[in-house]
Amino acid sequence: MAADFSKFLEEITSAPGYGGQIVHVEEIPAREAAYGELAEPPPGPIQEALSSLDIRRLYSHQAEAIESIRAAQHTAIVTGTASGKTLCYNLPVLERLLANPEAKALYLFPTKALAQDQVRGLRRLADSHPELADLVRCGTYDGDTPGPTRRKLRREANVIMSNPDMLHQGILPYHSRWGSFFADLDFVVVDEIHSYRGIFGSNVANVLRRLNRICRHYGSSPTYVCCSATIANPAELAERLIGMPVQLVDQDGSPRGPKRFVLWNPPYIDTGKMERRSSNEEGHRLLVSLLRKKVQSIAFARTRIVAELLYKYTAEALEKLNPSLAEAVRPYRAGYLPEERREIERQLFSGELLGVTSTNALELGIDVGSLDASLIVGYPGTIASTWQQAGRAGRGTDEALVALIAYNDPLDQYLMLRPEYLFGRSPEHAVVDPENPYLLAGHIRCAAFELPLREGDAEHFGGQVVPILEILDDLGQVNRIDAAWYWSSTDYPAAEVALRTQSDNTYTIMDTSDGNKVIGMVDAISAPETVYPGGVYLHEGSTHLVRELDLEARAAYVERQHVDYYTQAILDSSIRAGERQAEKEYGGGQLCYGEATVTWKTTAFKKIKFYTQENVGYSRLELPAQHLETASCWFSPSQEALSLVSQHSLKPIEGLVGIRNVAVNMLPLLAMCDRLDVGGIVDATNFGTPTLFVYDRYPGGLGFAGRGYKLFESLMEECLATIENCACDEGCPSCVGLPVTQPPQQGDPDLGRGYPIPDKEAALVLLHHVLGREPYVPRKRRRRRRGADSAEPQESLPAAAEGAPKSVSVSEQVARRLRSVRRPRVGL
Amino acid sequence: MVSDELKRRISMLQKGGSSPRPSRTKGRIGGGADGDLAHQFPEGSICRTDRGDVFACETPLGDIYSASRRLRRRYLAAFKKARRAARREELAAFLEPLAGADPERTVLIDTETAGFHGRPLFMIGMVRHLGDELILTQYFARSYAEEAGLLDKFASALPEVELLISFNGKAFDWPFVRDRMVYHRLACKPAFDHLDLLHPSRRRWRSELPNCKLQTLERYLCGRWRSGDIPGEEIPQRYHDFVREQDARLIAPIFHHNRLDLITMMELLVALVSPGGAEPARRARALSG
Repeated sequence: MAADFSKFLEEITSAPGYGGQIVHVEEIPAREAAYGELAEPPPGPIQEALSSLDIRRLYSHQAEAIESIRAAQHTAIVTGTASGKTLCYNLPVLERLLANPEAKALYLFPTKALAQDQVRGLRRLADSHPELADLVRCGTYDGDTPGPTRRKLRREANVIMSNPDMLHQGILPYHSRWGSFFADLDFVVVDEIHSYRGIFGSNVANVLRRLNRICRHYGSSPTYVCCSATIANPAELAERLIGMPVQLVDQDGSPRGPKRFVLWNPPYIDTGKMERRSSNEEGHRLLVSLLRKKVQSIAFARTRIVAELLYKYTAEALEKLNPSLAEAVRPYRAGYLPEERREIERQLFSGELLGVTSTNALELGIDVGSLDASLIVGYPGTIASTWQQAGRAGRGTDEALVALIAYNDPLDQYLMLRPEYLFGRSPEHAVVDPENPYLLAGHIRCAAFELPLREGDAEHFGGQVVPILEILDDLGQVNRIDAAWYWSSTDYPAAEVALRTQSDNTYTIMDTSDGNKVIGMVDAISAPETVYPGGVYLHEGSTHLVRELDLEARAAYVERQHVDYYTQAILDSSIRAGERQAEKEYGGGQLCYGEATVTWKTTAFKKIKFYTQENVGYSRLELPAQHLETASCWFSPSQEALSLVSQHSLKPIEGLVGIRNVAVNMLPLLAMCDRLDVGGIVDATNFGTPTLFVYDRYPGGLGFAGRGYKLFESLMEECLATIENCACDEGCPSCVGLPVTQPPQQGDPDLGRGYPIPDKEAALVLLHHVLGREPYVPRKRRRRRRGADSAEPQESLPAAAEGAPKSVSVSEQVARRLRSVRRPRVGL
Repeated sequence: MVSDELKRRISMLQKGGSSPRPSRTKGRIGGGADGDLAHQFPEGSICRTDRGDVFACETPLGDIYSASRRLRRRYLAAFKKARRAARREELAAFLEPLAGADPERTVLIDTETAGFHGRPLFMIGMVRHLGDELILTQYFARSYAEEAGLLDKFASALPEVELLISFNGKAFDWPFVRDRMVYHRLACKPAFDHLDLLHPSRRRWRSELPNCKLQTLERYLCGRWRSGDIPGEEIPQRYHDFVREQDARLIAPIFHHNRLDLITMMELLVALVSPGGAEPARRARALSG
């Protein structure tokens, strides 16, 4: 139903009690369709199938992509949601099948659900014409496919829909069963490539190199078709993934209705401007108002729990206000049975359902038709995801509404302040590093299992192949015979490489009071500061005492026990810069990129009482130090910049700590990584001058810090904008961090032992200087707080300190702190 | 999981250093001075193929197996029995391929592999009746690099074969050989019957024996126990060790194991076509007594 959203928003802003939530409205105009012609029209059966599906003309990007694929060029297609990307590859594949019924195509999707959806899509197209219907034999080949179906597909299918994980573990190692499939493989479609970044992407890039090698063995060289949501570097990403140059198609010819995109920031609930109203609550209220107006809407949540909560609140509210509507809302997330999901998708499509609350499970291409409004509760982590979710709203020429409801964390708040980041050219660079030696070693092992490796395979895997093979030879895993290395172990290497996680680098957290049930995972780097013996591990609101941390077995044993305190690890961490790979002068200081070794150790922990934050105990710990050899970029500001800070009686190192806290939150915006993929340390011992290090929290590095080096100026500009535009007085979680105790955080030496605390004013002085702005004059300091963290337990608590913002109750602070302790601890 | 040792070495690689590589001396084929059959590496020759070399040992069965004359008689008699039974329409359906088979064009095969799917195949043992004796041929890849030669050599022998006899070869040996041929891009167009002794054995003795593994059948039907034989599950690792060390003593037991399997398969065939012969229960009693 067409709704008048400008009137809807007016009603909101004029309602009593409106708290100024709408901080920005972007009116995205409608766009006319642009059509294109193929040099040679598709064969009759395809034309008839298209017209029976009411596709009369091709959009310009479709024609462009099809011509490129017809010319056997690897092609990357980057156009909006619902722009008809699928046809760009289905059409050339059908053409080829008509010309050569023996031809084969492999489609890869990041999820099984998408693969199933695409089978239905291709079937719908093929079944529109009897000749095509007989020709296309497609199916999903994944972990859920039963054995007999697998055999049948291997024997008969000409279009296989799978995922990278299955290709890695279930197809490539068994390639001789697929001999004729690979020999005739003409197309490889890699859809949603923007989701292949970081660890997952770096692994997928290696899997595709293995695929290329197998294809070459069987004498084929398929044409790749990569599709991506909008990111800054789609062609670069596609090229890194497939290891070959691509032709980019990014001029979207599909029509678009007008869209009203609202940035919605929940209002402060305290005068100190630290705490905002719950975004989930704002989200469900907005959803309820839309549904009451019969606007078909979807609300996206970051987590399963929030998707369920939104549903519960919304249904309960409707129960009271419009009982007839309560039934027309359903939640949707991974973990539901496939049949339930299919049903929800169908009900959405048919309009039976008015509202759905979902995780990002509905973000990727599954066809549910188009809705009128999309509410994004919490920034989904990338701009690309934001647009995918926004793209769920909008049908025909009717106006659609999108609202991004911010959480009170740095990135969300940053976007509320800088709408141009969302609505301008995408700043997001997807980063993959297929040559990370640790990842590469795993895939070299898999590749050796599949086919013996030769020196010439450096062409696929890069120059580190031979040194890695020599190591594997020494370890008895491969054996060099003549000019080739053969797999020479009874191990099955593909089983030991998981694509989506640091498979060998997570600790399991087990509850001994519940039969050693696994209640959580934590990455190896965070384990010693999260689950140390004697510490309190918080899980679903209850306290668990950590009994044992088994470093060998990578397991932590915890026991549910009610205690009235939580614990905070005290870390001793340091970083040593290694060999420099690049350096330059920047902002009068020195900017470098190179190797670094991060060392950290949990030396003790404090017990802190809930609500009062009273320090009630302190225990020493004897845990071995952890080392991480990785890549880092580092910046040492000039002496001039440092003395400028000192002139204002501020401490340069505290300014740098503030910048560090923002920088590690902003880098994900440029490098499309997760907040926990990067760490930061401020250190003065390496070069005798305070230096800011930002490093990849992954052995060998994954390219995030490298991106930080390349885009350092943008990074600093974003840090400045964030800090400058933040309404807080002296630093808050949305900018440099609270000038008080913080949750334990890898690489935060300052947060444990009376180390420097982040200083917003000093950070601003430094940033202004580095970026060549007008010198910044710090505001007069009303007082100088010291965190509860300093060594003396009797030190007064920040909230109780004189002049502290009264309205932030201690319990809220604790609650917030606990949220951040619990939130992002799981893997990568 | 990338092992800790691998990580350590890679991290040294990262630092630009190279750790000293342990020196390794490869032994030579030969060795095996003691007289125990299981430790002797067979005499043989290197065959050249389009796809590389392969080691082959070909010997009359009589040279290595003392009871081979009796076995040969009974083996040939089995073909005749099968023909007679077929004429009377008394031959079990699954043994039918035997009735029309020429012993000269019948081959028993048994393969040895470095594990299950995707692993290399390194030995194919065959027995065939030629002239007036049983000839045992074992093709052996002395390294992974000789697998293609092995398969090529084996494939070149196939056109003369009308009947292939195996034990569990329909599910294992033959698909494995075929997959490895695809792997090495060798043409493989079989035109022979395949008699897999596992299924008739199961049908016949399942109710009487604890299981129908080849060695169980061997114990009950041939009354023979293997001593010093290498357990099947150790074969893959043993082969990898051999490729690395090239010490004949490592691999000799596998040659022996492969021969025993082939001999047992012949005895099994004989027992299957003899309607009343080889009562397992009686044999078992005899053994325990």
